[in-house]
Order: sequence, then structure tokens, then C-alpha cells
Amino acid sequence: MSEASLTPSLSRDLGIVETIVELGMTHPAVRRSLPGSTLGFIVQLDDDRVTGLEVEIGLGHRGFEKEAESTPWHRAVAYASRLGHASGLSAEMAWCGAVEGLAKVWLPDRAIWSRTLVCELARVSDHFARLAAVTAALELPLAAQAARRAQAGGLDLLDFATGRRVPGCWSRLGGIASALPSEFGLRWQRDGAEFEELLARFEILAVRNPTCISRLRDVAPLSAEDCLAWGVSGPALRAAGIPSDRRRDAPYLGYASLDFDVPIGETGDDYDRLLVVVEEVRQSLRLVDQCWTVLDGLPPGPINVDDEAWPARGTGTLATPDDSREFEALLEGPPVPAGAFSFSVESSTGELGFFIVSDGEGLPRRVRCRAPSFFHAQALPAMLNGARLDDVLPTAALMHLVSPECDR
Amino acid sequence: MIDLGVLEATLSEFTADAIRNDQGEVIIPVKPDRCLALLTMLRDEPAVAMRRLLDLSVVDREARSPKRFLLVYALDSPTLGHRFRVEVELDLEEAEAGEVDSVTGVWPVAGWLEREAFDLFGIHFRGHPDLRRLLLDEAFDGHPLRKDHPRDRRPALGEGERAR
Repeated sequence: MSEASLTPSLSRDLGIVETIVELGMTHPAVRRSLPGSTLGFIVQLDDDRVTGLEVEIGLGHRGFEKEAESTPWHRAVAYASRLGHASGLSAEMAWCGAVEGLAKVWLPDRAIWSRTLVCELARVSDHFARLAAVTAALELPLAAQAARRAQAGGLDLLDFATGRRVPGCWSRLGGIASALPSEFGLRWQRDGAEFEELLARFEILAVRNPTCISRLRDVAPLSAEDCLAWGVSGPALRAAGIPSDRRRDAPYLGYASLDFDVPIGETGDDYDRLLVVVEEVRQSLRLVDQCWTVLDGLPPGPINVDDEAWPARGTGTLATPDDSREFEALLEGPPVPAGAFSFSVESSTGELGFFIVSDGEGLPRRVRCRAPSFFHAQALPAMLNGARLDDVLPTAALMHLVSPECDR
Repeated sequence: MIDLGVLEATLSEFTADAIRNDQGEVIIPVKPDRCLALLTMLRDEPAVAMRRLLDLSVVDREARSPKRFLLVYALDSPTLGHRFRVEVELDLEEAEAGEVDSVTGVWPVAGWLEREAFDLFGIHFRGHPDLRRLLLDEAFDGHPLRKDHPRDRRPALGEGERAR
């Protein structure tokens, strides 16, 4: 960067040619682990200016695609839900959507609306996790605390809605494992209001905080053109001014009939990313409201497709102990015709999709997962060239790099 | 949805025929030596404007097909709102000899995507600036997403000294 070479440099005066700092990798369970935890950053510095950045990935690689290709279609739901934290729920729905799309199976209404609602709840929880990570990296403890409380509240509510914490593994091919409890409405009245309140508090403590603004404004900008060249998606792409959102561009589940805004930014810097994420939380809260209104008004009905060959009904237990056809279906999974299909959802990290190829036999021929974090990790050096060392962690936090998703 | 007829004239010099499959997806098959030229054209031609390389995946079809590997480039036009898949067939020799050109010059995002295809499938890309393993260790033996790589083969302990 020409700007960096013009600034006076203490390192250069002292004859230090370059400094290399390694950030990460940390274990994900460490309390103050880095954003993206098992990713490693090797930062090359001139004073505190970043002149080179290498992102090291792969330490969390567990052969997700190979495993998914070695197991019947319905069992890979459990692998897919381990691709993210709360957003693992979006990943498993992307997986189910791909398989159901290839097999041309249409879900019953209750399953569609329950999935849509849970997707949005997962986005709320994950977006708050992202906001907590950014403010923690900026050392704004009160804002981080508010966001973390909301994140935990989101997980509790997901637990209440699906009967599962992280990883969810709640979707089934052709439906869902359990219906939302009928008391969800009451609980949502209370929790939804609390999320609004915590979001408002977060806005005062962080979004309108001069420290936060000066630390994020004009930091790590990536133009719309560069975002496309690097395959960036999700809030980071929208922050650069491109209103690209799978929920709007290729509506899946119930999104076509829901009312929501797609917020966009102007310059694509860190502050725009923060604003977009905050506004998306607000939109998601609206969406949960609307989904519950629809779901509450639906007549009683099934939550899974009515077809014996699509086995994972309810909890996956057999209706009768000696029903051998159902038992076989549980072992072998559903019949998926030969063909190739790609399907993607707007997860909290970005566009998460699957490209699947079937031979029409029991096992998938190919399972390819397009994980947004992988693309974002690769784009980080382009964003951070010429930034300060201090900017690396907030930017990584704002890009919400999820290592299981990135490494697969 | 884009009208394929519009594309016919521009595509005819690159490939035999673009098809739309029964899922409504547009698929453009192309020979390895014309792949780079076609992808560059698809990005720059304003009527198509494929500004984003969304994904690159590989399918190992083993002996089911005369050419074993299928490279699938997923392209996206955020301005016009349509998507194509460009498919290139390669046999094992072509894949390992680097018969297909790297598209890192067209979309920088291909850097990691091609490294991953090299790492997990052993596909070589001609002209890639830094074709190293990405997800696996440098000392890893084999390309695990090939169908002839046994699922339960684990590298021996101590083999995996990181090369850095």
C-alpha cells in the first residue's frame, strides 16, 4: 500500500524489515477463543500496518463430504447440522432442501412454516453471536454482554421450539422431527420483546458509540466488484451495496409470502457490515412474528410427507416394533432418483448451498457443500491489506468465520 | 429466466449446445481447452454478466462414464439474477496433466477452489500460481474424495508433520 510506505515507521528506523505475528489457532472451547477459532492468521507487519496476511485453514477438516457420500441420504442430516453453531439448522435445511428438490418431494405446510421460523430464530442467535464477538474484540464489554445474553436467549428459545440445543439435527428429509410446542406463541411474546430491548441497548452501547464508529468506519472495505470477484455473500456482500439475498432472489420455504426488507450498505466497510447485521436481526424478529402467525392459524396436519419410503418420521422410532418395511426404510433411506441438483439457502454467514449428484442408488454419488465461510476466509487478505493489526480480529468477527463450515 | 436462444450465437463458437435440465438449471458443456475462453466470455459478455464464480466442484464418476471426472463451475449473475453450470469432462490423464486452465485470472476466488480440487481430487490446473494442498496436510498421501480412496484409511501418526 502506498499509504503505508509514506507513513513514518519506527520498525524501519530501527532496521526491522518485517514482523510476523501469528494469531490463533485456538480451541473452539476456549472461553475467549478467536473468531473462527481453528483458523490461523499469519500477519506480516510494517509497524502495525498489515502488509501481508495468510489465512490458514483445514485444521478442523473432518471429511464431511466424504462421510456424506458414504452414508444413506437421510443420515447426512446429522453431519450437516454440525456445519455451524445455531446456523447448523440452516445447513441441515439446505441439505434437506437439496435432496427433497432432486426427489421432487413437497413438504406439508406445517413443516414449511416451522422450518422457516426456526431458520430465522437461528439467524437471530447467530447474528447476536457475531455482534458479541465484534464488540468483545473492540473491548466494549457492556455491548458484548447484551449481545451474548440475546444469543443465549436465542439458543434457549431454539431449545424450546425444537427440543434440541446445538447441534440441532431437527430437520428430517421430507419434514421435521417434532412440531413446535403450542405454547411457543406465549414464550415468543416475552422473548421477542426481550430481543428487541437487547438490540436497542446494543445500538446505544455499540452502534452509536463513537469508539465503535471510529474503530470500524473505513476499516477493511471491500468494493462490490471485489466482493463478487472473491465470491463473498451474505451480510458482507449486502454491506457493499448489492441486495443479493437467497430469500428474496430464489425464495425457498415460506419466504415468498413474507414481508421483510433486505438492508444494504454503501461502502462495504466494517461499520456498514455492523449496520447490516443489526438491521437483519430486526428483520428476522419481524419474520418470526409473521411465521408464527401463519403457523398458529394452520389447521392441524402432518409435519412429514405421507410416504413410507421417506422414513424419518417423528423421532425416527418405529410405529410398530415389527413393521419391517418401515425398519428397512429407516436403514436404507429414501429413494433419490438419478440426477444432479443444486440448492442454497441464506444462512446467517452467507449463501450456504449443496450440489448433489445421485446415481439413483442408495448412496449419494457426490455431495458438495458451498460454505460461505470458506470464501470469506479467502477474501480476508484482500480486505485487510493496509489495515492495522488491531483491525484483524474485529473484521474476522464481523465476517463471522465459522470453522466447521470453512473446513468441513 | 434467461432465454437460451439469445445465447446460441455467442455460445456456438465454444460449445455444441447449452441445455436446460428438468430442474430448470442451465448447463453448458465445454471441452477442457475451450473452458477458460468460455468462462472469460461469460463473465465479460453484458447479456450474461456472470460476475461471480459461485463454486467449483468435481464429480468422480469412475467407470460409469468414458471420462472419469466432471468439473462443475457454478456461475452467478447477481445483476441479471440467473445462474449457469459449466461442465468440463476430464479423464484421469487429462486431469493429472493439467489439461484445464486455471481461472484464477478471471476470478481470484478460484485460487482456493482449485487448490481444494487439487487437494481432494488430484486435479491439476494449468497456470495456477500456487497449487498446494489446502485442507489436508502436505504429507497426506492420496486424494480422499476420489471414489477409489477408502473411506476408513487414516494417515499413520507422525506422518503429518506440518510443512511450515
